[in-house]
Amino acid sequence: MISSNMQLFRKALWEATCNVYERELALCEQDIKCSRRHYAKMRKILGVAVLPATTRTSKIKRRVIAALIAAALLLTGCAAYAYREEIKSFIETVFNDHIEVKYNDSEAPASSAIITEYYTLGYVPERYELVNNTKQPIRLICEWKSPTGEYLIFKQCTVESGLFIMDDETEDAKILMVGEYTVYYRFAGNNYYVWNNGIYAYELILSTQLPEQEVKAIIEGVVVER
Amino acid sequence: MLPFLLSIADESDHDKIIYIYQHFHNDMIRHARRQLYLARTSNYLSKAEDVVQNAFVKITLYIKAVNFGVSEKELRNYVLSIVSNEVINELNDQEYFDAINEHTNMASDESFVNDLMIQERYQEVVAAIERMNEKYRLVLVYRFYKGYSVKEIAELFGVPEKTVYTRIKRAQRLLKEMLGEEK
Repeated sequence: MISSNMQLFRKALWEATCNVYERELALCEQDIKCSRRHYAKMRKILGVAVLPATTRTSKIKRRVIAALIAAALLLTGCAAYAYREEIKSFIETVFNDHIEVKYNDSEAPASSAIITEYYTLGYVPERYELVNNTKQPIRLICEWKSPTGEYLIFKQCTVESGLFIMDDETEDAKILMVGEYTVYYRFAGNNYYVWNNGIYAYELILSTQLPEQEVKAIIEGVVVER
Repeated sequence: MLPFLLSIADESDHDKIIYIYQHFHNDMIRHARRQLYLARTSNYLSKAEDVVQNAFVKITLYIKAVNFGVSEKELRNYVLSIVSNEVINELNDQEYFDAINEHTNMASDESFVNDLMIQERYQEVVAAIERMNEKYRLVLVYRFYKGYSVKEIAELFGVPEKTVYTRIKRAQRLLKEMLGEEK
């Protein structure tokens, strides 16, 4: 049986919490506008379109670039084909002001967005130092910086929730073969590389173009974090 | 006591998650923005969005433990408390120092509450709780109002049990100190 003191304390906690939240919300701006990126992520988490505005822009080009992957596979002799069957095709949607690349066209349940095993870069060029390592339930972000301010960002999420947003459309995407991976590449202010291993989707963002061999070493060097 | 099963949301739970989105998403964003702004967080608008996304993932994982039989205000408070905790995690504001190792001497819940003399000074207690840091108020709410165990709070907040013990202990001490000043 709960004592009267405990009942009063519980009432006090409830009253104080209500007061704090109400006072705080009253001080906040009432007109909430979030980024398109946020609504796209929420759409993935909730499994339904939460704001029609995500497809509001007047002109949208949408294409599955599996054909490019097929061509790349032919050129590379279809090595390790059985493994690649698990790897997902890219779905690219071009909006007026940004590009979205994802793997899964259907709305996945939120549970599929949870990362259970975090990865990291096994190889990073010598001049870069780790400045940020943020692990969240649905994504990993690691950031390295060079003394001259160039940055290298590695992101991880599940294939089901994989959604990568590039700010501008400047050049058409290219498909690169890096070891066993099929890598989507686009230059859009930064150099973006997107790939997956069938379970997790990865993104590498380079502020400056590195030599091809170095990029390959970075991508092939992705390992489970110990 | 609410069972903490990491259950995956099924179809019927999905409607509840959508309900929370439709009713509280904007409040969650406002709350996260304000907390991060007050913490002088750079790029707080973008981080607030990350925080809310993480909060939704957590709410989805624990949706079976969410009580929808309560008032709209109580449900909102629950949702905002999840956001608050994600803000705390975002700020990495955890007790790396001065951790309290001896938990055995933690006063029982009843004796702590009795010591507050709440019958005589109810309004002072409410005012003191309002002034507490969100991190400490949250553990008191989950411990005493919702009746969660330390283990359950640790699972929900994504922090070690030791951290929860430390926060409860500090929250109790802070509240007593605040009330002592007002006495």
